[in-house]
Amino acid sequence: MTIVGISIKALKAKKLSSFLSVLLVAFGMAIITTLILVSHQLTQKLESNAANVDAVVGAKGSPLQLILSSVYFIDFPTGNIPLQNFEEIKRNKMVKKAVPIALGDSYEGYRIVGTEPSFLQLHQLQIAEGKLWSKNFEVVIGADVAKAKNLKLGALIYGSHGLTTGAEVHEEHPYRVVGILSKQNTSADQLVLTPLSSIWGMHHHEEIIEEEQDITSILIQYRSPVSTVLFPKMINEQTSLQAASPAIESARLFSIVGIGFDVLHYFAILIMVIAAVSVFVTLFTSLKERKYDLAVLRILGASKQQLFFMMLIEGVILTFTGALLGLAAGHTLVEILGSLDGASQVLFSGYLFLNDEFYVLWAGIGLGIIAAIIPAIQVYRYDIAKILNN
Amino acid sequence: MIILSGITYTYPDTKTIHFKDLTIKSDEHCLVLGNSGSGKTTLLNILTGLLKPSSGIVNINQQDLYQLTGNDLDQWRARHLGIVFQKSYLIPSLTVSENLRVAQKFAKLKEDKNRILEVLEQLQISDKLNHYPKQLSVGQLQRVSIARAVLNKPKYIIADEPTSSLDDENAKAVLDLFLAQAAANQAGLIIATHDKRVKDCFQNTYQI
Repeated sequence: MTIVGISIKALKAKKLSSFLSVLLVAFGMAIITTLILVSHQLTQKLESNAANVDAVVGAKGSPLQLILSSVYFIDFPTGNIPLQNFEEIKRNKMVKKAVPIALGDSYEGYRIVGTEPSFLQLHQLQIAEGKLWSKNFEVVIGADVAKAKNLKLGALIYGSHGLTTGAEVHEEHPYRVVGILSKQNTSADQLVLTPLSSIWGMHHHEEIIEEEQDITSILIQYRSPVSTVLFPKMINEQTSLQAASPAIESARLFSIVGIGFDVLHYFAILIMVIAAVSVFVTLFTSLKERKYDLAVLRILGASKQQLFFMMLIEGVILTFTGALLGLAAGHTLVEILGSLDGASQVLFSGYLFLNDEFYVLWAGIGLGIIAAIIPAIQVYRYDIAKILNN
Repeated sequence: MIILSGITYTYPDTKTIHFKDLTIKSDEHCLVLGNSGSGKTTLLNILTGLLKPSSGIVNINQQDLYQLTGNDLDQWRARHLGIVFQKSYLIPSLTVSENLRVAQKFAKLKEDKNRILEVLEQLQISDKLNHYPKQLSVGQLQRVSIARAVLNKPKYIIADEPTSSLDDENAKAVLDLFLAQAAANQAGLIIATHDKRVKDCFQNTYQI
């Protein structure tokens, strides 16, 4: 019989209140773990997607929408701009790289992106299998697309109009898969890339008319950081276009989402505090009936320190068990979130373990010690003669 | 050998009791008699190192008890004295066997299942080895608490009112158990009681 063994048996004897304490800790921990995992992966995703994009130029409208649609490929585009704008901006001295993007079609929910080979360079995409397109209606697909739809090189796919599934399918123009990208862990994994002219060809069944060569937006990389201020100012004032910065917009997005995160965070902390109180109450009320047993342990030779330690252990067992269960629940929840249909653009993994979680685990242990310290001190101070003769 | 000399104890309400000097030789038995409230329990607490007397010396087997402090006193008590309280005070979340193993553990002795079985058999309660205290009758609980007291082969078995709530027949049986255990473990037996029925079995009595 070890002290820990005695503690465990004592907790098992009051299953209901122990269970309640463990449940509360687990619930709080699950929320905190989920928040840690989701915000970490969201931040990482946002950053890696926007890694080489300094600005996006597109039609006037919401800058956040422009960024979401052109960098993260989640929202709808703000509208079209003439290809001519691209030619002008490309020649601008401040611009090192300019990559056109044309959105509008999709394949089974995956976005078809009309662009130029420079898109691959900008995002540092590697072709794992096959090669880059050499003519219209050839596509290079992201790793996730290939895996999910089990597509091999040479496969034919049909795009449909619009960015959601179930719309009209362009049956007359199949795309041929000529390349598959290596896994990037960015939204590029979920894209179908094709030359701009494929997109134009799809919608104008005759010859492509020069004036109707529209694109959705232009991804910009600056020559020097100085342009961060000057370039958007120039675009916004001198043209009918707008320039938006992924860094600014994703920070803005995070400050909006962040309120929700903060609220959840405080909620989780509140639950943890309630859990600590529950552990305290469990231990404290049990002392009323257990003080005789504990006093007898002293008669049997147990030291004050051993009893003190025993109470702390009981608190820590409760919170540590809860913390472990909460961690497991949090990871499971995130994994489920990540595997849900329709969440294909922002994939979360539950199989990611972060250092922050260890701190939270330590915090769980600390919580148990704090909750148990008063009962433990009380036990330490027991006047055994008084207790046993009443 | 137990030697009490010059023991006085002053209660928080300033009432002071003077206890007569007492010597009990090893393997001698002694009955501490006194009415309720006369200070029997106080004397037992002083004798077992639970309550420091206001003055006087408690010497057991050449050890001046109150020279020991803190954990040393707890350890010494666990090794040398087997105490049986009026209630059994077994730990309800542990089985009979586990309750006894705890007694070996805290006395820093090796866990000895054979010894546990031996004691339980002597007390005719070995079939309850894996029962929890709440599954036992009051009489069985008392036997387990006696088993726990004698488990570590103490030099003295000290019991407080072990028979007061029992009828004549059971009182006799419990007394016989104590005497048998004292003999089996070569221990001295000290029983505090106001129960006159116990008196006949003891040569030494100490009246408070």
